[in-house]
Amino acid sequence: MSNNDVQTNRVELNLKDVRGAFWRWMFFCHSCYNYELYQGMGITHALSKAMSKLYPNRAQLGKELSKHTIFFNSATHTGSIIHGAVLAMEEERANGAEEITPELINSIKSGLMGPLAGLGDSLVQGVMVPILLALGITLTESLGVAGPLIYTALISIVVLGLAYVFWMQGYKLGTEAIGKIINSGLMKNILGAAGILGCIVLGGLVSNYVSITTSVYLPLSTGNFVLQTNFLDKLMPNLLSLATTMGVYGLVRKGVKSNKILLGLFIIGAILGFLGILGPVPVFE
Amino acid sequence: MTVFQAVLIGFVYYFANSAWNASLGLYTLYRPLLGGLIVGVIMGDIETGLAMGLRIQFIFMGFMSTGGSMPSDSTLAGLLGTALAIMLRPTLGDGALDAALSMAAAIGVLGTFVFIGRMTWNTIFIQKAVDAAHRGDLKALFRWHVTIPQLVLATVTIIPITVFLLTVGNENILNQINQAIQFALIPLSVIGKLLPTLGLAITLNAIGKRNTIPFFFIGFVLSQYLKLDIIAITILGVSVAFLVYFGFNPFNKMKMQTPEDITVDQDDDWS
Repeated sequence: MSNNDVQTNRVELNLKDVRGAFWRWMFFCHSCYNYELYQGMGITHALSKAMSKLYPNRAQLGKELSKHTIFFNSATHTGSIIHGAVLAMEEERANGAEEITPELINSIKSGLMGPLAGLGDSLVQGVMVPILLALGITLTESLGVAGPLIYTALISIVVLGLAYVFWMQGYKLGTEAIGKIINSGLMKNILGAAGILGCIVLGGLVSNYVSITTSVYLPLSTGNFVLQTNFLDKLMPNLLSLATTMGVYGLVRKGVKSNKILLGLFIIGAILGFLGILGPVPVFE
Repeated sequence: MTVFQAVLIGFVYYFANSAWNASLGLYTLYRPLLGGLIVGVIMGDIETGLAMGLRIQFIFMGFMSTGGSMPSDSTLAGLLGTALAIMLRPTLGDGALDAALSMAAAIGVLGTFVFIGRMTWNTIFIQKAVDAAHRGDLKALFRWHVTIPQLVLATVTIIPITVFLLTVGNENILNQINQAIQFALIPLSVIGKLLPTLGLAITLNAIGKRNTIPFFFIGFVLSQYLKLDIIAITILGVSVAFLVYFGFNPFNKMKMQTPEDITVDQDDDWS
């Protein structure tokens, strides 16, 4: 088959096919999430319908799909830029671009999935979710039912919007441009900026939502000396919360498993609570 | 607790983990803030639902699921913790919230087995799905990739949750729980206050680097001493982050700063 023949018989994907593949990914990427291939079949299934248009012959379709049935794991939203780009590559390959080999497609998938998962998880789960949750909590305290609903609406728009834009951009830009973006200073700058924003907000969250206090007091002849209000609060308000958070942060940084820390907090909390060291601040008169 | 309510709560848990929420479950129903409200609506006590949703949410403030791992099941903790609080509140009063909070944290740890189990048994179905894809059989692919794993997931989530809620919702068992935790209310509330530090520390570790940790203390001071609310802190944070990474050199506005120009540390290791 010569190149000219191919061009006259070119099979094109339309917007509906590309969007269809996007929704298949968003709905079914984790429908059979497993320890063997993770999202490997999620991406295969997402692309399958559009690829059946490129390869009407069933045996041929199976052969082309088989390159995707390997391990894959990335963020559902930012990772979708890979799938958009892969779909564009599959379209070119079906139209005779022989330089696009299965090996090339898979090396792009496995090369990009890690960095994009890191970007997406930091931006969305590390920064956007805590900020919007804090907003939702504030609104719940003042408005009631509207708080959780507003949080749900906002985070859904962010996640779906991000995923859709990334998918469509991947399809349009192709892999070369994506590689350039990932390796450019821009992405490192965005991650760095997100890190600063995230840290500032987390500091605010610790101040707002952690309130560890001691119930220790000394009955002196001059009156009761309450450790929390008469000493710690004057030293620094909410000192125990900040100190505990930094202590736990130190353990997490050292690589202590989170379930071990959780168990430790249970035991320490129970003991210090029973002994009356931690607990509500005693109030006298 | 009627059978209908119990099944409905089980279904909400399944839906959060299912394929039918467009991958939004992790960001919406996984969060106890929303889960608490939904259980409140189902059980007809929205006030307790909201209050409990808030409290459990604090524990899971920094919940992150990365790379196919599930640190703790915040969905199950939010739904069952709220249900327990609503059932215990008539007899325990506000102490019910503290008691249910610690139980919610424990339920969250147990819930990770649902995730591990699902990731394991799905390896059986995925073989069939791979075979279907290799044959180009899209109908069989859908059956083994979506229909069957989802039916199994629905069965193993909805039935146990229904049974658990109906068992615990029994009056005798509720009374036993009441008596068992009556003397432990203060330790339970202390545990509930310590737990949020873990999630926040995990998030701080995930997004913070050696040179951004000072911003954590800036955020703390802005809130604790200057009493700024979280929206004001977010706006300040965006501005500072932008200035540091995109607007540092006023004479060279158009040129993007490369990280080499500004980043001081070369390694992220702190030790």
